[in-house]
Amino acid sequence: MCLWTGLSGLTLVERALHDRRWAPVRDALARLRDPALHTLPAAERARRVDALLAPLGARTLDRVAADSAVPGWAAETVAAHLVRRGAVERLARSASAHRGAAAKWRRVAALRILVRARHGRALELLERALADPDREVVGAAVGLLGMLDERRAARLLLGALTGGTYAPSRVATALDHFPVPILDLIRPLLRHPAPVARFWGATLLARYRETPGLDAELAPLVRDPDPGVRKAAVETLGLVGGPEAAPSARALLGDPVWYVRAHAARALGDLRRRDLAAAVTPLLADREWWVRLAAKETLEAMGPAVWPDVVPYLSHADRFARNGAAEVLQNLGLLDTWIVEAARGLAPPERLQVLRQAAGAGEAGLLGALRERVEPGFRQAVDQLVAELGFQRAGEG
Amino acid sequence: MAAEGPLHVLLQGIVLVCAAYLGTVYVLFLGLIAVGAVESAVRARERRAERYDVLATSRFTIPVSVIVPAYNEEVVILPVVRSLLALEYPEFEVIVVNDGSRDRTLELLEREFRLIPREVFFRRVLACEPVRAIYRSAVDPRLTVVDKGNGGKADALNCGINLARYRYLCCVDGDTVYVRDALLKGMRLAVRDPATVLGVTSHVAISRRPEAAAAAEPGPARPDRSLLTSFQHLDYLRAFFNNRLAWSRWGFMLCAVGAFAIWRRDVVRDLGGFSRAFTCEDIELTFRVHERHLRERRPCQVLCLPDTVGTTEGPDRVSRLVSQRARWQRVITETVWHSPATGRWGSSASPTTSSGRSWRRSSRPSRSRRSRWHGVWACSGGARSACCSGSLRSNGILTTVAIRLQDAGCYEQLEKPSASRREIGGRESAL
Repeated sequence: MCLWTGLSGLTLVERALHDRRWAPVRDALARLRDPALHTLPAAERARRVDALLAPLGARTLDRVAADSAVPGWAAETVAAHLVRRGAVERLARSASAHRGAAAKWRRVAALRILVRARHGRALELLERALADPDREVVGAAVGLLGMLDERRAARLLLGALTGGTYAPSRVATALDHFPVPILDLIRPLLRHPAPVARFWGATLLARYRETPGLDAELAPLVRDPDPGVRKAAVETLGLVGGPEAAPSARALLGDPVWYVRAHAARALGDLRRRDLAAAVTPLLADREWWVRLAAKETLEAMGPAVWPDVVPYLSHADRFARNGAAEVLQNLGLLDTWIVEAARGLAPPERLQVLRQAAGAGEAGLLGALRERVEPGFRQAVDQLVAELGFQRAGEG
Repeated sequence: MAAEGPLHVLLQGIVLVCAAYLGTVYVLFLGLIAVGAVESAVRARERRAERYDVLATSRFTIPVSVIVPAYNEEVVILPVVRSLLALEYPEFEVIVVNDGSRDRTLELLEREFRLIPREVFFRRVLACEPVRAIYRSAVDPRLTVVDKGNGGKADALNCGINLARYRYLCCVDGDTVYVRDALLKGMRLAVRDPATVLGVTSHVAISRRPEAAAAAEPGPARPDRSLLTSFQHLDYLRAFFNNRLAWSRWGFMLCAVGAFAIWRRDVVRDLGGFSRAFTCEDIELTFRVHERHLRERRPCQVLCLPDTVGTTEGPDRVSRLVSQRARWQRVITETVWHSPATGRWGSSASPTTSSGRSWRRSSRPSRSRRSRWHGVWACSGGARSACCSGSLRSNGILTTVAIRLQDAGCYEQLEKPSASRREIGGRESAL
């Protein structure tokens, strides 16, 4: 009991001390927000900031400058103050190597402060951190390199990406958000011997989609032996567009790998070309659920004009293809419109035939959804029509 | 001085055994607190070094399907769904599974989010009760609502998994209001190493009115003024910060809590989804994930964050709290009892508690034959596979010492062969 009481008391005291330590920091940060301060010339502003932060201890300021929860402007101001205060040597020492867990996080914090202060030594220290065996240090270095607007930082990140130094998605995230354009550095990745480099090269190009001729650079990758690369290439082609995009994506609709087919269908959807619907509809009968889903969503994205290509699939031999076609027509709102037209007696006989096929293909649930979606005033007429057309047998399909 | 009789010696022995036992337990607790503190400090430092702004807008952040089972949640369902749709995350969908609610849960959702019925043909990979209708929101296309027959939380979760389209699942509760960066904080760990990090869980706060938490200003939250709620809040803090963080560090997480558990979908599917035979499906699934990966010698991590990701509703009466805790302890015992992970060496009791689940109104009763067992501390196959839990009965006397032989039958039934690993193949290496 004494032990737990003691621990509880210690916790409360620690919290009170923490609040007391941070009160001056909160006060200083509030004063830094003063709009008048930001209108001053740089030298005068620096002098005022230095005076404001001088009473605070270096370790406290280190924590403020390194904390990602502190607003960027405040952290950068504090980091610049620390550099002016002559903390560079101390920070560089901490940032260059570490021994033990506590030193590791001091190293990460020091690197962050130097980056936020835009100090010249930051890049060299980050390069060293990138080669560190500790994964967490490498991860921090990757994130921090992405904050620098120097092309050398981008080259280091590309080296980490191709060398498998850290999780490629995290390195790619840093490259995708890089402050300056690096298209010329990414292009060589498309011809890199490692599939992972080609994959990310193709993916990262999407950021530069306005650049003319990218489709021609990506088109050869749709014949890449690695399915991941083909998938990335076609995905980016859908975003980039251009004359090579549609033929390349169409060629991959018959790819042996299912996720390549799915992304090829989605890429055609991104191009928003109604004339490509006929190429996508066969995928409604694909053996993989994901490809069928991609085909349905692509057709829906192309708009109601795709219905002539979809209707033949209502009588397809494959049950999933029939279901998928009915679902597309439903999600496009066409079935609702047609059934109300038919209930009013405005539908031609061939439309009634399509409705009958749709009900059979969509099975019982489709009728329930349809009935619920039509305006209440039409429900009785719809019910009557459903009975006339023999829709009650739909659930047996 | 009179000679010591046999009764006196016996009493002395009992006292010594009890004292030794309590000493061991306290040492264990202190050890857990120390390890939990280290883990909390490491995670806090990691968090300070993370660039959340970049992560929140990155197109390479893995999309997530958020699954919300809801049963008679008319009081909180709207704030819960609003809080989920307001999550700061690049790409996600929210699937609310109305598990045969008898109140106005579905009606409120229909009205608030303008639900439109759709006939969606989905894969029935996991068994679940029949689906009555599927709705999509006309207000927010990320929201899908499924109306199905009542089958319990595990059944609702399995139904949601059938409809989920993304590679990660975030299983949440229908009575918990979430903070905006909950998913981002959780997925940060998953995307760092998707091949190894199979699950992520975190801490939830307790309140009598979780919906008030959604409306509250950002910043430190005020604790609830009710004594019972404050007690539960402290107990959750203790369970999470003392135990779970330590378990997370040691790699034998007992339970990825139902209120917030991120799972890699292929892992859940390969295991046959959540078990409908156990009342606390979250503990049971966590056990099975560990068991399968240890058995197949595959890397496996289920991590715990030191962050509060949401506010949930706790029992508002002592009787309900007692019943809730008794149920938790019972199902932990059931799970350990049935788990092949405990091996031949069996289970021995320990008076610890675990908390963090709030699905308390499942209509499907547990089918366990061994609900009389109240506590276990199961260890097997070395420290990594040890799972700690247990209970002290209300009268404070430890009642259970359970020794069992391996009995993996019920698990084999749950594991269905699946080809789902292919879905992730070819892309996992690239990430």
